[in-house]
Amino acid sequence: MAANLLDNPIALLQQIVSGDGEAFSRFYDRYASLVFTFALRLLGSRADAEDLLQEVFLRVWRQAQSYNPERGSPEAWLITMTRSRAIDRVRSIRSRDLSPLSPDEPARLEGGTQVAPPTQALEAKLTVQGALTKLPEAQRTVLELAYFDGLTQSEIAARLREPLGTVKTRMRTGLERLRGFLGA
Amino acid sequence: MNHQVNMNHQDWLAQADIYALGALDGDELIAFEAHLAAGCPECEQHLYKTREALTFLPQALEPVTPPPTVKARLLAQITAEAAIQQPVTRLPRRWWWWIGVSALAAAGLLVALSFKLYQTQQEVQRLQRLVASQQTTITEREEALQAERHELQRATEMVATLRAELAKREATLEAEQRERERVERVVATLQGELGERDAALRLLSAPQVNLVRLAGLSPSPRANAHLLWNPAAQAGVLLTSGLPQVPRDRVYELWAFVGKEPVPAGIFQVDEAGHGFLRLPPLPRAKRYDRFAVTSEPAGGVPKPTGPVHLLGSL
Repeated sequence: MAANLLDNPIALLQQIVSGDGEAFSRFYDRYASLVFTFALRLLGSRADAEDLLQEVFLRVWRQAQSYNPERGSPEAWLITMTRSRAIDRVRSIRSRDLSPLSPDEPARLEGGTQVAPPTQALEAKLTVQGALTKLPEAQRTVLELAYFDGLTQSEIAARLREPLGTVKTRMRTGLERLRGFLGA
Repeated sequence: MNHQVNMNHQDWLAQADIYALGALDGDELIAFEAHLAAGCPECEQHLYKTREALTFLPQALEPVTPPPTVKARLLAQITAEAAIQQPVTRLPRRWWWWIGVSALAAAGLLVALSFKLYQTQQEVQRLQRLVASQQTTITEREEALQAERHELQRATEMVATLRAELAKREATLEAEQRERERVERVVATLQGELGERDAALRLLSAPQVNLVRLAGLSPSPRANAHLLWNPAAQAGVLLTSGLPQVPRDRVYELWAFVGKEPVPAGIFQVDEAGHGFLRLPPLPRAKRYDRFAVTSEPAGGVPKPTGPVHLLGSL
């Protein structure tokens, strides 16, 4: 139970807030690969992904107190931060104007019930991988174009030469499935 | 939450899905952000849940392990920050961890720094080669520029020399022109004098010419004059010496007397040596002139003598 407690990411973040370097080291070991993999997928360059990995974890060290468990799991916090930083980088180097992405934290977040974090990361991953492979190609494509490539609904519709309504529907249906994988 | 929003809230939740994906755009984005800003806990919770679900997408990717240098750099950085920021009381409890981390960080840093040093050395060598080549180019250009400067200086000097030469020649030409004009004036004067002397010579060589001597009177006792007088031609020439020069506003005037009646016979001036010369103008004919006198008179002469008599003589 003690080991479980040590590995609990929320507990680690609380220790990081109080300047615990060891907790930070553990937190890094746990999530570095996830952040790096995601960064690599978003930026397409190893050097850029390494820079982003370092940037994200420096933010973890310096701003761990800004994590609020009521708004989501540490994974969601890290993933949202990684994507937001990546989009900023892509925007700064690309002349093409990407659509605005959702900010790290919407304005005026107050109250709300706690979001259930994914139970048992490994199991979840296996489940997700299995489920995602079953996701219809069309739904998976629109989700990836938006989430990984930073395209807006209009840009996706233009690229796929599909009506905007169709794109929206595919996105919502795909997300509905993803939400279904969350622990009840 | 008002009635209108309630009625459409399923639509807002649908927009929240696309917003969470970062794919909402245009007016829909503006409207949804306004809706969120107005405060909608239901949409916020939906967003959190959707973001949670979206983490499955990166989690489903084939994992890639980052290089250990990233962690080494991070630990080096946070160790440095912790050393500055953390209170001293925390240190004893965690000293062993920080030492471990510091050593790891130092090792990582050493690797990173060694590579950086190598890169820097390569860059320095490249820059040194670049600087050397630039310096060669600069030297060549400076030499070319120097040569052009010499050439320009030489040309400038030549122009200056030519200008000086030209000025000298112009001055010489001007002086020569002045000299020529002076000579021409002298020649004209001499020609005039020569004409007078020719006339005097002709008069003198005529057989019936009389020589009249005029003697100096009290104003000029040492003066004298000779008048060559041709009674037939009623013409003559007067040569004087020893007369003082008169002021600018006065002249000497010669008078020819018919009995006691004086007739004006010309005006003249004398030079510095006291010599005077007068070729007599034509006098009224059919009169016998037997005495001659010279007086000093106002400039231009007068019809009857008014001034003192300087010279007097008779036939």
